[in-house]
Amino acid sequence: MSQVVIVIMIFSLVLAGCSSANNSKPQNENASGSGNSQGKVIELKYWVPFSGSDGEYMESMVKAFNESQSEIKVEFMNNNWDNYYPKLLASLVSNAAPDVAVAHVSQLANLVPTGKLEPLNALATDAGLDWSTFASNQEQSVVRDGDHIAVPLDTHAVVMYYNKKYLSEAGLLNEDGTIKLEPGAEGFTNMLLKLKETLPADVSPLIIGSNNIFTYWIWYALVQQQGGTYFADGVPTIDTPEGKAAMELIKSWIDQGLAPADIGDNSYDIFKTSKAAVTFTGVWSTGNFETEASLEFAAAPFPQLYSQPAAWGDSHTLIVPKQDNREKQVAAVKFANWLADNGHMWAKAGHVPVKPSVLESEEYKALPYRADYAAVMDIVKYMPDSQQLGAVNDAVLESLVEVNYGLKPVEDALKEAQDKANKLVSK
Amino acid sequence: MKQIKSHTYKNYLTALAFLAPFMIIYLWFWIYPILKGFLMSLSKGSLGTAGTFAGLDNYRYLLQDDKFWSTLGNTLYFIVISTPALVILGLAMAMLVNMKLKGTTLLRTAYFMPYMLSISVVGSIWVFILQSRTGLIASTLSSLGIPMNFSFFGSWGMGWLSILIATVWWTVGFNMILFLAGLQEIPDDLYEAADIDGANRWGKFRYITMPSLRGVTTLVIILQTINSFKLFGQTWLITKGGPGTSTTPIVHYIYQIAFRQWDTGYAAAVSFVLFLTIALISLIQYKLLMSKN
Repeated sequence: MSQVVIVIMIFSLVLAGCSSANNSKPQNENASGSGNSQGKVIELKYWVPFSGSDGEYMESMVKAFNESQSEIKVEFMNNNWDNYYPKLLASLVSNAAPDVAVAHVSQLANLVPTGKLEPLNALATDAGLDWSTFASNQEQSVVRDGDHIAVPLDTHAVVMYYNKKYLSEAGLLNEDGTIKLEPGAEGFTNMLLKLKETLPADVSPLIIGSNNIFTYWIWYALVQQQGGTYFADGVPTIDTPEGKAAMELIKSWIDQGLAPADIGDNSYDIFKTSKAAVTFTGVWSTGNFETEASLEFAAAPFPQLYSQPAAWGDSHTLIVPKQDNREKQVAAVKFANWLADNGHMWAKAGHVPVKPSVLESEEYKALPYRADYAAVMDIVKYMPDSQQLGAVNDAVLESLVEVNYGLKPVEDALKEAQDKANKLVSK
Repeated sequence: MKQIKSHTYKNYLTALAFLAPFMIIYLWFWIYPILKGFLMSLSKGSLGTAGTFAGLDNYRYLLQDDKFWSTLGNTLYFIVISTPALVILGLAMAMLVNMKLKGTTLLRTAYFMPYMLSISVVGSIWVFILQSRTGLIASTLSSLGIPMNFSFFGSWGMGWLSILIATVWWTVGFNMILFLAGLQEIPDDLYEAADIDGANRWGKFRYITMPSLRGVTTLVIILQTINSFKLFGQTWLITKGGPGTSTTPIVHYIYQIAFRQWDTGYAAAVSFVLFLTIALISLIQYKLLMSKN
């Protein structure tokens, strides 16, 4: 009797394990079962790395797409973001890739060498996708060897958020809600100094991640603003006058008590709970900050502190792996185009839509805050196309964090970062 | 004679039949990947592209790779600071729990519970406790009017201290259980005889407890050393290997080589060297600790 019970229990555990394996439940197994008079429904497998709060927005967009027409049915599969790329790469190499998948522009350099990404110009014509409807900065970022290898979806950048209450108390708020800012790095620093005079003791003028990726992203943007480069002709250019100036500026904020040292991912919370007046953080924080009723904040593109406007950012794009079924590939491009056309839905996650027509639309303009930083997409300086990008970024960040903790002077840190980067690229 | 031989032969076949399912899984999921990994270490090429045979190039590179030596050094440093703490604390906790006073059962559960948590949870907990400004320690101190003007992640020393605290909290319970089992094996009449002879607490510990625990202690030290060699999750989640690379142990570096540099060949080579190092040190430890007999 007890053996039967045990067998039943094991059986039900196995069943439970099998059914929770994938995110979406296929409603009917046979492809032609949806009653479409045209013939078979084209089913697309779609992978995304949105294990954060973005996931639910993408899922509802997929649902809306499926409901809006009956030729194509997209099966949405979410994945953990931190090991998504090894998984996607392995699937491309072993010909087990989905029909369409999200990939960052910065990761295309890792995916293109597999030779498994379908160039899209021919497919785009058949799918009715017009490249000119995309913003030019984003459209250019996906061109390789004269062909587009991905469909841009959004831009997500590091922008500026500020606490309107604190800024106005310090007399630093204009009539239109923008910050009273003198030009240049000096002007910005002076603004922070002024804030320090009126802020309560436990509130920082500026809060940024000082021991995490944000330090790298902000440094990168400041280097680009000086007309500097990160890679030039495939060679890393870290130890440069622009690099030094950028890192010295960041360190000076910490040294002058304008930004606290030793801040990691808690930078979001600190701004959200009004313990800081200004923050540089990702556009994806908008949704998070909105939920805090007591926070009166505004958003703006990353401020120009040097001679050129520039910001760090990346874009989500959709890639179409190579496969025999061309019909599915055309459907994938149609789907990608639909996602871009409906960017106001994706913008709820805080990202900037990629089509100017969406930015002009009523639905987008009705969303709070997002239109205020949409302009950042034109000044994003995408990271260089290199398979060693991730490793070099890590190496540079290691050295920059040491500067923030006061363990190394800027010159030594940049020299060390340059050496490490050279070694990685020449391996 | 022939009859006995065929009987043994039959036994052998039966044994093989029972072992076969496990052996197949063991060979396919353990031995084969280790061999494949070694072959991978002899090739060059990134994840996703076919590798080209490169002989011992990866091993040659390893010898002059500063980060390999520094991360290996970090790992050895961690072993030196953590092994005594984890062994001594484990023993102390086991002895406390073994006294069977009121509340020791509760203590035993409390000491062991962290071991059941996953590394992600442990990482989140300790970041929450140790981080500046918003962390538990920081906000408790500031509500008492004391600003926390040091950082748990800001230097080599503090970084390793944070990793040590998190690791001890997480895993000492396991050592406690092993020692507890060992303590409960010791017959009570040994202690009674010592009492009759007028031995004090320290005497009993030194002449009865410690010798009886020789086997368990060796086991705990060797297991602890091997586990400390594998340190990764805590540094990845709590200090991110920083500042700089001061809290980057070798497995953390292997992860970076494989999944940030996409250099699976070199990662395999470093892994293999780590494997040989662990095997060698475990062997030495075993010989040293058991030879005192």
